[in-house]
Amino acid sequence: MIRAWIRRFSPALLAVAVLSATACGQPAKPSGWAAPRLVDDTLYVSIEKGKMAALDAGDLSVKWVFPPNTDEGKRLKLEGIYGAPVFGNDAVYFGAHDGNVYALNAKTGAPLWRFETADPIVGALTVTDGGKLYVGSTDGILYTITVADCTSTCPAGAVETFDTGSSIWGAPLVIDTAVYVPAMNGRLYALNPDTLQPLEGFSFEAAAGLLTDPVEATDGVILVGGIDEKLYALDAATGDQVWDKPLPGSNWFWGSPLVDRDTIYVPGLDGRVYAVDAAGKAAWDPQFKALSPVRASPLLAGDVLVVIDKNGGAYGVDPATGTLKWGGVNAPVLLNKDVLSDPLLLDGEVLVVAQGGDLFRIDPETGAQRSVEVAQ
Amino acid sequence: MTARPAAAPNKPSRAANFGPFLIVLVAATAVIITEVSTGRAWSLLFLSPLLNALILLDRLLLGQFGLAIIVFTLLLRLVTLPFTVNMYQSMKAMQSAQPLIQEISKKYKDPKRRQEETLRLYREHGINPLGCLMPQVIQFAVFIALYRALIVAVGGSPESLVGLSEQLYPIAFLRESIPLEQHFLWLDLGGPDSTYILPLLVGFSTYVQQKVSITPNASPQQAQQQQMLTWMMPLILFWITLTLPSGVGVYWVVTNIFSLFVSYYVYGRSFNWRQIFSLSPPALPDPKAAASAKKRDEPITDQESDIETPDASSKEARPPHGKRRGKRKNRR
Repeated sequence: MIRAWIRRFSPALLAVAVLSATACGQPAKPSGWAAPRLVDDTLYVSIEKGKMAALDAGDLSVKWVFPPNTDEGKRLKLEGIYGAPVFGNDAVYFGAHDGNVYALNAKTGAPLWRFETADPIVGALTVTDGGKLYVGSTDGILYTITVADCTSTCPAGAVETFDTGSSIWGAPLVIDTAVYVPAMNGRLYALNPDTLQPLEGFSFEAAAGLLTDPVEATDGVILVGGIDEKLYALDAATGDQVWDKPLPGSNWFWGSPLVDRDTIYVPGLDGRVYAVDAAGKAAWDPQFKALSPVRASPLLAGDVLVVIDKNGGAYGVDPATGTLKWGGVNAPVLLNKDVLSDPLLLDGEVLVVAQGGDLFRIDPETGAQRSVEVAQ
Repeated sequence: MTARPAAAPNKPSRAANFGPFLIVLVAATAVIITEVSTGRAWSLLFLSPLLNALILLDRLLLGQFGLAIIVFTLLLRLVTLPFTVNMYQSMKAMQSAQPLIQEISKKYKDPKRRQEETLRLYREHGINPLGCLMPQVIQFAVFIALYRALIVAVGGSPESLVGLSEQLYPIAFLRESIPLEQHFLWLDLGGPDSTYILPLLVGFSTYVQQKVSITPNASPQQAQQQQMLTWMMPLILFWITLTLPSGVGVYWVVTNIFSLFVSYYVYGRSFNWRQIFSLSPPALPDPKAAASAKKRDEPITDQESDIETPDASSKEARPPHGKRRGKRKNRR
């Protein structure tokens, strides 16, 4: 009887099982991991998926939220904001997963203009004092926008482009006479910041895609890494490797390295934080190991290096030795939220933005943590 | 292509031995899925190997992840082909034995006895009632693993790429595929198909596949239930595909098409396209024809089933499995 029942209803059982299984896990929708930024007395932070907010840095009360909670605002679906906002000319600029660059009035949050790219924007934007905005999109194109020429939209004359033929996930780095663009084809492009023509004499290609935002370590040395599990130190003029060999990880590098004088702290998705000197030699032995991948850049708060891993575990590490001061397995500091965003030092405390926009404060000396309510 | 005979009588097919094995397998799968789905075992045993195999195929197929899904599905179906063929052969044998099952139902009113006789008939005809379960279990496990793999591989968000980094083997050849090409034909493999074409294809191919594998039932109630399932399953899958990553839908369509070819191979000329598009349940085969076909197709042995067909002249029908028990029944 049971066999007959199974035979007869096995398609239905399969359907029910499929339904149950698919209900258990849905595709991870873009949530965003934009790092917060403090400008004067205002904290710019994505406190909700696909929303940028300006908070009073003192009491964390909301000054404005974009898109606003109006009929027009509800029609805007930014999906997720991954790059930290940048500022210039009383405006705040950021890219979103919906493929748009948004320019807002920094004081009021009123939209100034919007520029659309073909695919999501994941990396942060870079703005220069001269009013040029560099935007890398996953459509593979680097856009340069002259912000002064944009009103409600950006006319064609205000935009120049350079096509990498791949996709761009990191933020462009502008140094004097060059803009460096990491691409998923493994190449780091050095372009003339005005004409976007490739600079002669510069060439670098990794074995796999570049994910980290390029960072200037010391004068003339650029750090970049990605999917081939190596962090490279490159000569800014030629692209030649400066270190004897690149820093090897055991998973991808995605978080931006933190440069503090002669020491470079590099987060890795293998859960390690590597500390190396300017020559690429290990400064810690062994390297620090968190319990889950680390995408967020570490933060130096006094004499403590604060590390936040993907699962929301927080660690206080001695920056000189890499030994644990607080946190870890024995004294866990758990935020109980996924964290992929870079933390920020605010009033002597570490401000952490978890996935979804929840805020936490951590005392860097003791590791005591508390969640922060945003006053609406 | 000619129809292959059903398994020889009195010689239970290999599938008949799968019963306990299948029960253990189903139980083990259920335990694995429920108990360790949040842990590393699921990733280690199912998700990571499947994901890396897909990415390897993607690399070999010049970065066409959609093609990788199709080739992976075909390879998987080829590997599990013996189970699938077995399932269809079992269904075919069941189809031809329906008149005899009907006869047993009429003859024996005692449920226990009826069950015994039915099971004996299954054994004699090499029918494994659980024969259809193995391919379904495999299909289910692969479906779930593929679903999870696609969420990670082409989930359409940077968060999913972070997840991918945890699953990808540290092999340079694989890493160079990242990020994977999300677009295939008109589809975004990481998201649902907003054109409804793929869900419709999934629903239609599932309906055809269900219709091909449907077996005639002795009672109108059973036939009605089966007919309902034939409609319900495609509708459910159509609905599910509306929300699932398109890559899963591609897998399902390819699986159904492959199953259709296997059906054609097993059923041969008796593969009835008209029946597929008919709204009425399949008719029971003529008992006389079934009996004669059985005699024609299968070697006669001295233990062959001796159930009489409904039009048989003898009123003193012997029980199908031996004189003694039959006499006992008659005494009652």
